[in-house]
Amino acid sequence: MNTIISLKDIHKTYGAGELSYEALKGISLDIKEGEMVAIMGPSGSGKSTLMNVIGLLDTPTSGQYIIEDKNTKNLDDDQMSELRNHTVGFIFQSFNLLNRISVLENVQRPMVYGGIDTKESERRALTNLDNVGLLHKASSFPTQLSGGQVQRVAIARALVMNPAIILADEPTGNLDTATSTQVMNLLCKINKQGNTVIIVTHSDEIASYAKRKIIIRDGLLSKDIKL
Amino acid sequence: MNYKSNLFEVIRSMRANLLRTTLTMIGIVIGIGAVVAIMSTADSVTATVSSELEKTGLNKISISRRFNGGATRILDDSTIYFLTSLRIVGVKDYQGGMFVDSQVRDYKTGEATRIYLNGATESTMDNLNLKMLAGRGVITEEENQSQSKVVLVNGTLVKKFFYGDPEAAVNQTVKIAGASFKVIGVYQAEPFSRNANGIAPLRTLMTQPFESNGYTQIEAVLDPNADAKSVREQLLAVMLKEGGFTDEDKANFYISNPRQELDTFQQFMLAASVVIALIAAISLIVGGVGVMNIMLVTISERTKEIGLMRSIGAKKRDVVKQFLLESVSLTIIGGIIGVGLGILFAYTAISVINMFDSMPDFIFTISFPGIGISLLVSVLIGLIFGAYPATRASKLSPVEALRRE
Repeated sequence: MNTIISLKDIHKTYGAGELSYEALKGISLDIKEGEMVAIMGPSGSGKSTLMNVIGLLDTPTSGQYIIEDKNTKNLDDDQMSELRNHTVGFIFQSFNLLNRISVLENVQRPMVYGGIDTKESERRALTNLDNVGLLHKASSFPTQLSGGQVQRVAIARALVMNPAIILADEPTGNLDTATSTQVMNLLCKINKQGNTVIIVTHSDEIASYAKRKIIIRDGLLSKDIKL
Repeated sequence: MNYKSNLFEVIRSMRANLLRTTLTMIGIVIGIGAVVAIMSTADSVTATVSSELEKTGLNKISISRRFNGGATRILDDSTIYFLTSLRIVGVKDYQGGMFVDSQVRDYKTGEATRIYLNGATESTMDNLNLKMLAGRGVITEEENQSQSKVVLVNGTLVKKFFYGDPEAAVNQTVKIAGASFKVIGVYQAEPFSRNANGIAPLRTLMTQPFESNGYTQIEAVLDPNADAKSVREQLLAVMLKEGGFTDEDKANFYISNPRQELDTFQQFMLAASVVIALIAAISLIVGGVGVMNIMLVTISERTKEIGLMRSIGAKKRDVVKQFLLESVSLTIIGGIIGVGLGILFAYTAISVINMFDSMPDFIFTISFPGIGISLLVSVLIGLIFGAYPATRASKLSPVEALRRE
């Protein structure tokens, strides 16, 4: 399998001078295409910062990050945006759906920025909603849905551009056990279809779905367990 | 970007914040409304006055006595005979006219007031376009030749002497310059006039009791397609030569220039309305600042949304577009409402003016250039005052934005 994510000695420092804070103190890590990885660690360990760097939402202070053979140092803001659009799909703890637009429009959103025409975008959005079992809710609004349903819509949105990497930040943090299981089974299914899935969590139960556990402590990689 | 679905989204978000949206729009509505109202009212005045002028004066050039000039008798039938013999191209006819500034006295009460009398004949009466209120609007050729002491008076005099009742004035007698005149008709007062005016047979005004020294003016009646400027130049040259003058300003006569007067008036109205509209447009800046303010509030409320937009692939310019579309929608809807209210206001203003008899009936005109410019300006305001908030939104770091609640 090809390496899709390659981090070499990644540092991330916030602020400057005496008040500066080093969230990542030199992390090196390779993730291969098709892996299902759980990034774990206590709060303040730097796992969220690591996830933001991987997801191109944040840039490292130093170190080298290569995603799909592209060195992120050479990318401008537009190219980073394109990668977030095509290559990475985000799933958030707080779902982050827009409440004033319909479920269908929420799922279509990434395609608006990806320049996909309306007809094709509607077709793809409906297919993805069908895959998460929410085709019948397409014209509903997020406020009319349960938490588990909202997260499944968010998953459909993350998948709609068919990205190679799915980044899930505490995807079940706001869900009860039953719906958590539903969401995790969905993520496993996506992984089986070939997508690389990275889950940030502090729950062992959630991490047990993954085949590889990376434990971050004080901004450093402390354990890398392959099951 | 998909503008259509974005636009629906913008409208939905406006409806969700209806009070805020409305308050923000008011500034734009008032600004645009004021500009449109001013431009439309000014256009109506210009159109009305122009049409009045065209009806009465544009096909005539008048040579009139100037009272600070010499006492030379230059305007009489011999002048008309002389001018006719020149056969100036474009002139159909010459007509002598008399304007007499006199005094009229109510026969019964003895009350007196100043009256301006215009001499007319059967043929020149037609050109006056009188609106008759009572009696007849005709002076017969026989009355003119026999120098009959008959007079038509306007509504203003009737208000003063006959309690405003035109019917009561007809066939009554008034004393003008000491002589008794029979009122044969009452016509509506001239536009913009507060004077007591009257019309009497031309020949009557050229005899006793009036001091007469030829005509007060001679009018050259032009062919419909005559070159008024050239006619005026020829008349001026001839009249200067005949009177022995070298300079138009020092001559004892004055030659009117109707076309130029109309042009000057129209230019003045345009300049005046543009200046006033610009002053009104200052309120648009205030409105624009309101839009900017609300856009800054919106962006800080929706910071997390901006973070989400960036995380699913929105480029900086997508964020800019999204918020510019919102600010422009706000100002353009405000602009459209403003145009509507402005037209309504102008229409009301014109209707109110038309209720006064002393004014001509104003023609209501919608200023289409005014509307076009207003809508353009409202788009520009949305762009200009939306630009800073939108750019600010696009510069937010995606991580910081996502972290905000």
